[in-house]
This record gives sequence, C-alpha cells and structure tokens, in this order.
Amino acid sequence: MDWLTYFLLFLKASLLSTGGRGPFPYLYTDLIARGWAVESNFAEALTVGEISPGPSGLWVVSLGYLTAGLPGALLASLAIALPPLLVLIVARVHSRLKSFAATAGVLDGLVLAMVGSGAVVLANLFIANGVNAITLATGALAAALAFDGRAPTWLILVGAALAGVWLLP
Amino acid sequence: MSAQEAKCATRPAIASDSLNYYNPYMRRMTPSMLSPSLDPPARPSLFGLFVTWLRIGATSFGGGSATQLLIQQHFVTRRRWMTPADFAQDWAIVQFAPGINLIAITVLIGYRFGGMPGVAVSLLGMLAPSVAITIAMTALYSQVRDWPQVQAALRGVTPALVGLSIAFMWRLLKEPLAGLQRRGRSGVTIGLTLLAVATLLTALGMPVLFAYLTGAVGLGVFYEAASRSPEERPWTG
Repeated sequence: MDWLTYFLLFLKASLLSTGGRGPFPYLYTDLIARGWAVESNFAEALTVGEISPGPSGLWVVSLGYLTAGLPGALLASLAIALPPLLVLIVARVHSRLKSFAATAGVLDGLVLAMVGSGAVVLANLFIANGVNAITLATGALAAALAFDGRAPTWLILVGAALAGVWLLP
Repeated sequence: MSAQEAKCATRPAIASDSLNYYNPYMRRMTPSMLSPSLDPPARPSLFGLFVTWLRIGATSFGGGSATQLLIQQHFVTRRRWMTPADFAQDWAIVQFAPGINLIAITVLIGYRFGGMPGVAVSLLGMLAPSVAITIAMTALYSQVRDWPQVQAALRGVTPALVGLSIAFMWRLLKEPLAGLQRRGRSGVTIGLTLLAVATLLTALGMPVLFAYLTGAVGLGVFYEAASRSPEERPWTG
C-alpha cells in the first residue's frame, strides 16, 4: 500500500467537498479504480457511520479500517480533521465572502454536483449488490420511511438487515 | 376553572416578578432578558471545553442535525457560554468551510474560547471517543463479516442505505432549488442542466472533481451574473 497516495486521496475527498457524504463519490471512484476497496466496503462503512456516535462523516474512518486496518483508520481520521481547520480563515473573510453573489452559487452548485455524482455512485453500489425484487422493494421502503421521517435510521437498517437474513441468504 | 385557565390566571404575577433581577427563579429561566453587566457571560476553561466536547462526541448518535442540537444545548442552553445569536453566526460561517460541518464548528467554537489550544482540545474531545467507537465497531464487524448470515444482512442493508441516501439527497437539494427559483425560470433550467451534466460526467467515468467544479463554477458565475442583470431583480424596478 502506498500510504502517501492513500492519505492524499482521503484528504482530497474531504478538502474538495462539503458535509459528511461529500467525500463519498471521490472515495468510491478513486479507491475502487485502484483496487484498494470493493463496493461492499462502502455499504459496510456507511452502515457503521450511521450507527456510531459523532458526525455521520465518520463513516470515512470505518472505510479506512476496512480497507487498510488501523493505520488506514487513523490516516482517514486525520484527513477528515484537517480541512475543517480552514474555517478559521473563512471566519476572517466571511463577511466579504458573503457579499459576493457567486459564493452562494458555488455552495449551491457543489450540492447539485454532489447529488448528481452521488446518484451515479449509489446506482453502482446498488447494482453491484444485486438487483432483484427484494432489493428493489427494500430500497423503495427505506426511501419511503426516510422521507416520512418518523422511523429512526438505525431501525430502518436493522429491519433491512433482518430482511436480508430471511430473504436474501 | 380548568387547569389550563388556572395556569393562565397566575401568569401576570410571574411576569411582573421577572422584572426583578434578583429573583433567582427568573435569573435561571430567562438569561437573555437580563443585562450582561448583571450576569456576565461565563467562559469555559480549556479543561471545561475538553470535557464538554468529550460529552458531545460520546453521546451524539444520529448524525448531523442531532449533533448540531446537542452542541447548541451544551454551549447555549445549559452553560450559557454562547448566545443563540453567537451560535447562529458560527453555524452560518461553517457553511462556507470545506469538509464536515460539525468538525468545522468544533474548530470555530474551540478557537472562540481558547485560541489554538482551544481548537486542539475541542477536536480531541469531539473526535477521540467517536473515532475510537467507530474503529471498535468496525473491528468487531470485521471479525464476523465472513459469516453467511452477516453477508446476507449486508445484502439487505445495502439497498436500504441507497434508499436512505436518496431521501437525504432530496432534502439536500431543497436549499439550492429554492435559491434557483428565486432567480427565475432561467435559474431552474440552469440548475437542472448542471445537475444533469454532473451526473453524466460521473456516469461516463470522468473524475468526480470535474463534476464538482462544473457545478460550483457554473452556479457561481450564474448567481453573480443574475445579481447584476436588472431583469432578474424585478424589485429594483
């Protein structure tokens, strides 16, 4: 494993995105292209991220562990802890930044791109897992429950896990 | 008289009481109504800061908005170290920072109370327990991942994660869509075009950075142009 490249890929994903899910398309394409991760690693890491405490962006740490053990997890932690330090610079220029109409555009545009790229990556993840009536129904039900917003995320995931054990052996 | 009416009947007495700064009950209940000189804002020590973030990091289950609320409870409601306005301002600044917003606000609040040492203890407090728990959970999972039942469970969980993410992304889209609608019909057209281009670039196997740059630069230029062209601003006459 080329540790420097590994770290830089994680750092790039965190630095050039926003939010906990922002790094997802970068890491998915970069790590799978290099053979450093398989599709299922992302489902595993995202699940751990959803049920562990702290920011949900910590799924990246879980991905680090799954792909490169403890050193991978620690490098991933460092990679997600460094970019937010730039907020100290942002805080000084915040009022000037806010006065440009372009700033809001850049942020809204990033969200649009993240949703577009994310949709492709999610479709790949779904297909790699197997497309059949049961997986389609599970995905649709989970989306409906999440839209509704009353069922907690962990409960939806536990339900899906049980469905998998019973229906997808 | 119903219980509700009885409650209302006693309310004026409490309200007039609240004018008395020395009433300990009201001092506790309405900090924002009190003059700052009578109730100077407390500041956490470095150790206090560390312990507060440690508590937040270890108990914040449920991701983004749940954690945001927890931070607000600790710093604004319980300790009164920050006013609601301070917190709102910090949260607004964080939106412009790269990476995970919750880590950025940890940095910002840490700096506010303790400079760079404050940043260090805050990050350590927030991340050490949650990172340790995340690693421990992943390590435990790694021990059982090859069990057939676990593999079957994962086959069920993966489509559910995709479904959850679709709902999450839909919610994420609301804000930019509102911004685009405010900029008229051309705004919505340009936004949807950029969304389609970003999707296509990634689907064609182009680097994700291209898609992100297209979205960010495209809408940045459009918002700037829209703010200057008079027809996009009907209220200026």
